[in-house]
Amino acid sequence: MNEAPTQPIRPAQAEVKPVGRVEQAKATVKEWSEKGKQWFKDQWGKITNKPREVLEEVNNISVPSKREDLYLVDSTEKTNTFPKIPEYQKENFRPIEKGESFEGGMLILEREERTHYNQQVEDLYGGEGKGNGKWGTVFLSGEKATKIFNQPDNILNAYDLAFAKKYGGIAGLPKFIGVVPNGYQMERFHGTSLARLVNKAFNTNTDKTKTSSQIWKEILSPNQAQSLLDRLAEFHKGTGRVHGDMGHWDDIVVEPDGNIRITDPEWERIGDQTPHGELQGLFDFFKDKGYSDLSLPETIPDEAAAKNLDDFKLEVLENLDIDPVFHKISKYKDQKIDVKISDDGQVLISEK
Amino acid sequence: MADKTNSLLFQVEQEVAKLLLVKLEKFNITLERASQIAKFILSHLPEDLTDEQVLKIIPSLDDQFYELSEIVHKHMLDYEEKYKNETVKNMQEMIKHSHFQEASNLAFKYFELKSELKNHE
Repeated sequence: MNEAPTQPIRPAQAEVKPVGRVEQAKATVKEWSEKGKQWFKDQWGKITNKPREVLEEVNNISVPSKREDLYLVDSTEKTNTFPKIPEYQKENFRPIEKGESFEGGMLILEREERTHYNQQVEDLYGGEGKGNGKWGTVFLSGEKATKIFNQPDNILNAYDLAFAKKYGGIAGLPKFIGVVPNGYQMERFHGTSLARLVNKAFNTNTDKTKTSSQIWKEILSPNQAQSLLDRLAEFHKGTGRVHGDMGHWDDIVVEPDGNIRITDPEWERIGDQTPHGELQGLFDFFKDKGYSDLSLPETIPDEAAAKNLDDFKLEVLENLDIDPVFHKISKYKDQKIDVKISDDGQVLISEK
Repeated sequence: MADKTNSLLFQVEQEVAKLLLVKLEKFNITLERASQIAKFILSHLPEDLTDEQVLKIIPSLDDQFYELSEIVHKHMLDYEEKYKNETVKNMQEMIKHSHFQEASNLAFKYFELKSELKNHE
């Protein structure tokens, strides 16, 4: 018979590991998720009567500062050493390259795709300044200017795009480069807008004896004023229509060598403007500012301009699928690209 | 006490707050970006602004945050619709009662405000 042990037998003990980082992170996420649901519930509850409080709450959101705060990261997990081919590559999708544009009709992105795209658009097409307008934002990079429409399904934007395609490079208009999702790309003007020149000249002038006419001559020489009139007449002849927004001096650009360029014709508020009226208006304006030796260039007949514009619009509409209820563009018929968003929010492109 | 819920400021605050909550819920915006937009709105639209003052600020709200462009665009269209019709109606009334100078002043005010909005485009 065996003797009784002098020491109590310790039960076999499994090695207890400390709780892993994955478990910790999962628990944290679960906790956050519950808190998050409650947070949204509270904010939606306040939106009817106290929207400002909601904004204050959003303003006070603490932004995660570490990668571990956002992702489940476990440094002990083994990584797969074999490179994995992303699903999107199997479907012929790839990330859009920086500054890349395409042929064909513009692709309209909506809802979530549009939000993801808008968050990346500055990285894709900008970096050297941008200009915001009612209809869109123009991003500048190198020799390219990329216009992204605020409402890409608006028919007025289709006119803008078709005009840029058809008449880009004519009469000093920016050359057309290609379409991008929700916009298009054109030649970048390296100059200063007349609006900015005028503001600068009048705001910085300290000599009270100078007349408005003298300041104007420092902004535009008589030759440049004549050149602007000639440019406008050239625009009428080249495009067959009025510009429609010559009072908006951001649309007139003076390049470093003094060359005058015009851009961005009006689509919305053309009204009863005529080529002769537009040219005469500009001529009278400069005459009033003391440019006495200007000559009024020849332009196209007024009736022809109205008809040309109507014909052009009809031609554009024929290349679109229009939503009959909301009178918005549902699709451009000659689209050559397709877009999707990857699981990690990257904008991917596929060429048809 | 005036009912703030009818003010343009309240309306804009509500629209921006809704926009941010929807985007946050759908993960369509980062926390940092949403926080920046909220901060921007709170600082650019202080609580005591009149409708007229808010109207003048609205067009510049999307200069820094394109996410707000739909709200800006909507208000500019609303403005065109509402004030144009209202101005024309009031002017007709004034002209009918031979108050020509007042009618002219009203038209001037309308175009002045419209031109200010246009300058933001």
